[in-house]
Amino acid sequence: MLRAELLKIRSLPTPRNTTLIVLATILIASVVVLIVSPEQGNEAYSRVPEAASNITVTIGAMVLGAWMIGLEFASKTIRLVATVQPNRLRFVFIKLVAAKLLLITFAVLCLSFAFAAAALLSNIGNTTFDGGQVFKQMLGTLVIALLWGIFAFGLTLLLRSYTGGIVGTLVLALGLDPILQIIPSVGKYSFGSASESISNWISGDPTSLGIWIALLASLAWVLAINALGCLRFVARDLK
Amino acid sequence: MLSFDSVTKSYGSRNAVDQLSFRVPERSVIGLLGPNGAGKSTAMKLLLGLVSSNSGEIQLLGSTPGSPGFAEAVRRTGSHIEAPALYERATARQNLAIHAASFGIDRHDPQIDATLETVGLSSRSSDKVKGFSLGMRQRLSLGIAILPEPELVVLDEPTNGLDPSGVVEIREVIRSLPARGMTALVSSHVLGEIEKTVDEVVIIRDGRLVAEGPLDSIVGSGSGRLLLRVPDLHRDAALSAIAAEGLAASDAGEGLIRVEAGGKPGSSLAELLARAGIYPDELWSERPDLENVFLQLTGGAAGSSSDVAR
Repeated sequence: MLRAELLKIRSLPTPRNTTLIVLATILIASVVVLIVSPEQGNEAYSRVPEAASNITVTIGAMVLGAWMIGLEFASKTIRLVATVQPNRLRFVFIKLVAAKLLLITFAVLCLSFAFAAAALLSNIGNTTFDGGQVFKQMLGTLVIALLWGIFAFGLTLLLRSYTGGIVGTLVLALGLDPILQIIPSVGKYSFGSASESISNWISGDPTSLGIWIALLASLAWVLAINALGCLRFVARDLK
Repeated sequence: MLSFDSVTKSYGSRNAVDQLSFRVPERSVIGLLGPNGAGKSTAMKLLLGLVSSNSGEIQLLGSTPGSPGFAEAVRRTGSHIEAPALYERATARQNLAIHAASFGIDRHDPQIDATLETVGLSSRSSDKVKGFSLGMRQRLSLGIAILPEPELVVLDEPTNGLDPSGVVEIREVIRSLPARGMTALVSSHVLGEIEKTVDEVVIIRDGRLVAEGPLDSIVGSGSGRLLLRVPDLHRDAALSAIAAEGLAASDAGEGLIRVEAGGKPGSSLAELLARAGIYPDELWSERPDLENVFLQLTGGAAGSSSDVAR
């Protein structure tokens, strides 16, 4: 069944289009830097591609994580695929493996492009390009993107809706999570804050949580939402 | 092959399927009939393990839901439930290839081309499904159901949205399934169509079985009535001759006379009329069609739903 999931990734346009949109965004941001042409040595030359990839790759991962399972609800193929793999736990597991493969491929491709763009622009703008540091920052982005992508997968499974999964994840990421973060004591355990701590730890920036606590908190969020989605999917009828 | 034994499925306080029992023999085409909301789709979903029953027992290819072999039994069952389940942005071939991959069939396997040919979509195999009519989607969905050569095929309204020639083609495909080693359970509300497609029918109403068995035993080989057409000139004489024999006759319209023959064959009526010097232009046995029987069994208030006709 994993072969079928990989074929869906190849045949259907959403993974390709999402990747192209993210690559285009990084490219446009890089071209804008070239057009504006700041004075030589300005750090914008290296920072812009990296910043552009940071947010777009995370949003793209949310879309693709939700798509991997939401596709079946949106296409009304969920009943068909549930008869092809009637063991629903195994079904979710295979989907999750496919989602991870998709997210890693997507994020690595886009971040590599951003890395190359940053290196090229740094050369053009005569700025220092610390390849090791940029790599670490992009690795952090990769981890955040993976976590949010799998979170979106779980939420979509729970809501049984592709649109619901994307909107729900975005509402959490842009609305609820920042609110949670400003609550003293508990804010640092929010999903956004905990995953940010992991990213910061990788890139060597200051973190609000220790790495193990941040890992535990992030995984707890991802596991909880996926476990709830899985429980609902396994236990409830597919009317 | 498959059986329902006193199966009940409730949604809230409503029983979508209520103490339903029927069996489907191997290598046959069985029609599952009932008015809208009768529980046909729910019965099919129960069979495929998509919804779980509240009570009763379902057997699918020798396994019951929840037993270790049930998942494999469902995998050996092709299905088309309610609307066609297709990836809109993929082509017809890609849809089949994706489904084939779930069964370990390579996307270049000739079986995919053969299936496209069977359902009449070879010329549109590279077109995206989003541009397909409902009829073409139905064909593709049927192709997906039969692609892995399953033992059982469950088809919910497979001719819905098809034009007359498409209906005939799909009927031929369904009729050919037993010869390919498959058994088919087909629901439809196009009764004239199902009559030409199935070997046996299961008629349900309000989730309950109201009739089950071979078409002939459900419809009846004859109503005991004969219809005849005689020249207008001999009409009154014919009615008198029939009445003299103690048989009831009435005007059936369009120049026809309906005779309550009470089981007597048409030949005896022809002989009776010949003795009176009357030779009918046409004489035949009136056979009720499935539609009439269906309406009688499911539509009217007459008859208790617990009275099962066999």
